[in-house]
Amino acid sequence: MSPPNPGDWQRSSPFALLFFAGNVFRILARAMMGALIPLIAIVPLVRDDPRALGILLLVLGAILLLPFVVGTVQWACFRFRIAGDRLLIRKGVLKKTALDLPYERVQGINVRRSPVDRLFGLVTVTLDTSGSVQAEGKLPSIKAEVAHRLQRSVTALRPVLGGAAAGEGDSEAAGRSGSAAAAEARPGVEPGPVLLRLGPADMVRIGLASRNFIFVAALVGVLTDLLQPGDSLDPILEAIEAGVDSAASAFTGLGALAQVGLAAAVIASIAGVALLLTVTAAFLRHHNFTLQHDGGRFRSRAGLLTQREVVVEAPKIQQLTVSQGLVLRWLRQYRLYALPAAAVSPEGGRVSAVEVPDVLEVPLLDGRLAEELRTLVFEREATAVPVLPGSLGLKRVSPHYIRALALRYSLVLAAVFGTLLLLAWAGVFARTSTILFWWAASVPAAALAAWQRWRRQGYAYDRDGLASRSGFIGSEVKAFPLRKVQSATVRQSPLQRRKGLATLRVQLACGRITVPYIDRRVACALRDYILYRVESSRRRWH
Amino acid sequence: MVAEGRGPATSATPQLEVAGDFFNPEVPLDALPGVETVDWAPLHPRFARRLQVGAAIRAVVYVAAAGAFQMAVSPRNRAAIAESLPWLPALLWTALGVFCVCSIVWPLIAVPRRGYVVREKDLLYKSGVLWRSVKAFPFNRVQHTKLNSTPLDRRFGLASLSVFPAGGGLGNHVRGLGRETAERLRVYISERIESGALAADSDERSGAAGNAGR
Repeated sequence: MSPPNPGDWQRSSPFALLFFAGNVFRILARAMMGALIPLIAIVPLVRDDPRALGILLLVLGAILLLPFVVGTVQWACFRFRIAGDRLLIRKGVLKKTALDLPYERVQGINVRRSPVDRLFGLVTVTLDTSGSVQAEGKLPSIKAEVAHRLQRSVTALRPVLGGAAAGEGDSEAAGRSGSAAAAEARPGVEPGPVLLRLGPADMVRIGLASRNFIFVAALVGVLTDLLQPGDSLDPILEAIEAGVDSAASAFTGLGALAQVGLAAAVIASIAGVALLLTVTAAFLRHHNFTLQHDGGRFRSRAGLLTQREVVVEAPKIQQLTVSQGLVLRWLRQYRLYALPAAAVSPEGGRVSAVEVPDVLEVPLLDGRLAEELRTLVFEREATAVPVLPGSLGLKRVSPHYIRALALRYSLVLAAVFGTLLLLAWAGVFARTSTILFWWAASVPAAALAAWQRWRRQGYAYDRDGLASRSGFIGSEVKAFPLRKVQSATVRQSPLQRRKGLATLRVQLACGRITVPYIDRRVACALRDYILYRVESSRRRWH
Repeated sequence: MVAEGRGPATSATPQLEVAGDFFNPEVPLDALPGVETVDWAPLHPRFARRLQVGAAIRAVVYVAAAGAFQMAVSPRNRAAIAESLPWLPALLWTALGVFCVCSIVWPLIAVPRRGYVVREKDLLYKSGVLWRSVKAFPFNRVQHTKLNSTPLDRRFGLASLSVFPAGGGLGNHVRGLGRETAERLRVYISERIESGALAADSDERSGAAGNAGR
């Protein structure tokens, strides 16, 4: 142990200043965004008045300097102590806060190493505590060995985290697997078996499949699709010509072929740039991704500059989300999120950006591993609930859903085009006939979109879990064990009442899941069964 | 008010047609207490009146604001409007009037369709005229409860009870309870939460001890 007395009050390294200043800056930015922009906007107006300009710049400078001043004071007031069974944190300048975190309540230790941290062997540690406690422990820029010691103490005092922590479970198999998990979980921070490791080639695939890239990729796909039949060339070329008129004027002599080549080159370069950007982002975030599982904990580590280590206990995971976009579908891969209970303020307000717990994200995995992860996370529960978007086990919802969606879309369309029409009548906007034409043209598109949404919608359940699929182009499945439900609602619209349908909506600690347009009796029976599972469950839900 | 125990099993609870072994062998779905047969407790009889008074106060404010706005329009603009859009003021006033009347009448329609049930293990709340919903809050998932009453509520002797499950979500409250009923409910739910937490804790502890011993 490097510090002379490990139980002493310690301060985090001066580099934590950056962390505190960043926090203040973020809070300030959110609170003052409205005020700051007009202030900056005034600058050119008062350019000629040196006194006013001086005052303004002074105010701006003070606002920019404030985070560092406040950060320094906060850092000076920040102390922590690693005691035998608990972590004590003292912080606060005017409002002093004394945080007392027994290790038993710590559910995960997330470690983050920014480039500055790595240079000096420092880490930023976040302790995940159970959902009901708002105050969370965060130790910015502390020495790596101190963090290690903390990790070891926590693991030693909270040894069995898997199914065994539940003790007498809902299921008869609890005892058996409990002892198995106890044997598996060793005190200490030895990593468990590696479930997944992603290399550079995977980064390229993640970049390809990135949500930002998909827009560009889809655009390119549509364009190339359209370019193949010769007769549909003209309108696109015209559009491109109009768009890059200035660039094309230099090539007018080269003829249509060159223009096609030019268009292709433009498209390819756009796609290339998009790919480069998304792959770089993937490298920054997921470089060297490893996923480990040891004794009920999942540990992921990744990052090129800032290394992030996320540790989540299996019992804390509320929901698994497996998503698959177009590209991932082509690659036969998936993306998985394991959502823990969100740090929602007890008053039911929104989550503040600072307090969102780290989500375990697996950016690229195949179906087999996804199934395996589901089994590991939910253990004996929800073992048969499908998590893959392509699963055959997912049932469709009622086709009346298409009608409801189409109605909803056309109402939105009516609002938009109605406004446009009013503007057109007033003579502000384009011709009335043009707008009517586009309105008419968009109605089938809305119907098609509704149909596609319905095709993607699906649900499945078994005795322990429920899964709901939704999506438009891609699709994602959200699966959860029934006993993690917080509240359940059955809702009926007038249309649903006429058709004997209903929408089931369950609230989890990490969000809401909706199963729309299923038979009312099924919805009610499911709701009653969920209530039964929740109310007869004596295990902790987090 | 507090319905002790869960309602008896009903033959009306339908069967689920499910593939696989959905049914828990110990509890066939038929035996699960359904929500259809519970006796919904109506809200406090004065609640509709309280909502109407609130709507009326708001209507007065809106009308006053609209009147002030009309006064504030300069004579020149007023003349311009009278010339080009002579029907506009009348239309806006009619719309405002219809809105106010509707909002004052609406509680008479909506409130009788709301209701709640407190069972041994959960709280049910139904609401909605066109879009109807039944919400269920199991007590062993409620984090805490809160009693609210605005000055207007207090004048009518009413209070609203909010329950907070983890994960938030809006509209987790039962409005329009009598003040004493609300307080009794709050105490009842708090007791249920506490006893549930104690049971879970002791279970967990004994389970952990058992595992350590093994």
